[in-house]
Amino acid sequence: MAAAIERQGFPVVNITAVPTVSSMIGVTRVLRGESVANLLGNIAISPVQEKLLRRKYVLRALEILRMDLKEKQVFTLEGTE
Amino acid sequence: MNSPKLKVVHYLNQFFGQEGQEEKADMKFVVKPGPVGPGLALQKILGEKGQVIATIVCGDNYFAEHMDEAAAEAIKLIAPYEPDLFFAGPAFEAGRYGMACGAICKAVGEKLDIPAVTGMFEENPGVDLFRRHAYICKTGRSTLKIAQTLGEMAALAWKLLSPEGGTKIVAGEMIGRPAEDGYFSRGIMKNEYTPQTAAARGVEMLLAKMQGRTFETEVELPKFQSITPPPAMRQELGACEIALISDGGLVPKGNPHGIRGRGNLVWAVYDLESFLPENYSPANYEIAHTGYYPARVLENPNRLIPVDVLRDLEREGVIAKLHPLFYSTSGNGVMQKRCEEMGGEILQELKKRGVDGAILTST
Repeated sequence: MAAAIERQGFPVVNITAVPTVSSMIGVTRVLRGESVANLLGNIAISPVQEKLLRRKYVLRALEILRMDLKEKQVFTLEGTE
Repeated sequence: MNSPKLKVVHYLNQFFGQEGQEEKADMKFVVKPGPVGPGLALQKILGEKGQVIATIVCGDNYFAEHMDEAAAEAIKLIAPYEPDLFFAGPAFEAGRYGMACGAICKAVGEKLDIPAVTGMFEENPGVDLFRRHAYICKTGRSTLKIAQTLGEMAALAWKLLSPEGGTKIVAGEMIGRPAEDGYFSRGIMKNEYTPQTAAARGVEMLLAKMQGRTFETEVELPKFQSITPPPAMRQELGACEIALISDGGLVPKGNPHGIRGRGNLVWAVYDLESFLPENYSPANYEIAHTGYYPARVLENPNRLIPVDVLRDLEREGVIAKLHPLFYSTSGNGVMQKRCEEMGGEILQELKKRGVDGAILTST
């Protein structure tokens, strides 16, 4: 779906724990999430810490939406893959 | 040689079963003796080799809206006839009909252990869903070629009936490769003896490719196009409205829109204020997605759609607005074409409502 949205020129960022799949399909703005079953969460840390982590992800996603990209890219919280 | 006539049962939808059109799409199963509609053409093709002894018919919606129960019901109706062979459709492009044909053929193959053959156009959702479980002949889009298609379905059926089955119609004829016999690859890799080793075949294929000669791949990989990155959101974040979309199958308890855990075809819209309030309860959600362990998301749906954070960011003025509607679907085993369509449909909504950018979470 992200590919279809992107093909029409609309800014979307796909957060996924399996960025290979999205990237293979051609999605250009991909952000790697935590895990498949807990994409923006983490049971190893406290709920407060988890929400802070989730906030980091969202801010990163928003940052990506404001980036001009020349070609597709898989992003992580810290950088790129 | 006087082999007994094979007993054949045929499935048709409400339209081909001569009950009606969309107004009859909710009709329950009926069983009619002998061949009906296109079944008459099928009977002609079968000739002396087979007899269509019954035709089962139901509505496309009746089947599509509760596929498992309907397939089980179909088996109950088919089994007493003790058929040797089963045909469904063909469904051509019709999605609900294709899903019904595929599902019934799958059930017949598994429960009754007889060949079950149908026919569909390659984009029919029934193909991706059932190609591994049923023999689906490739058809065009148009139903005009139905007689020809039935002929191809019958030809495939003869090949499926092995000599060991007691009917020596075609002795020892191995079922050919999908391309040869005109059916969709079932994704089954069969070992074959070949005079050449894999190494030799690989080198030959590479040489052919380099020299511009034709070659045939032994394993077909899906083909994808490249996309030009959409322009970034132009405005400052503080002026942007951001929407959430997810294919993780997050729905209200009860799954009111019937989003399927696999092979889903629909998306739904939920108002975030009522759907995921700050004081949400895990008991109010379901995950209509059989492709991942749902517990973490059920405990806290914000882990799939970060509504809590986006609400904070809106309050703080980091973004102008969290779009009030959440676009939900299930992306498990959805055929590429329908996925594309859903993306396009959702985008239309986003554009209509003046959304600036979207976050799409996938599991």
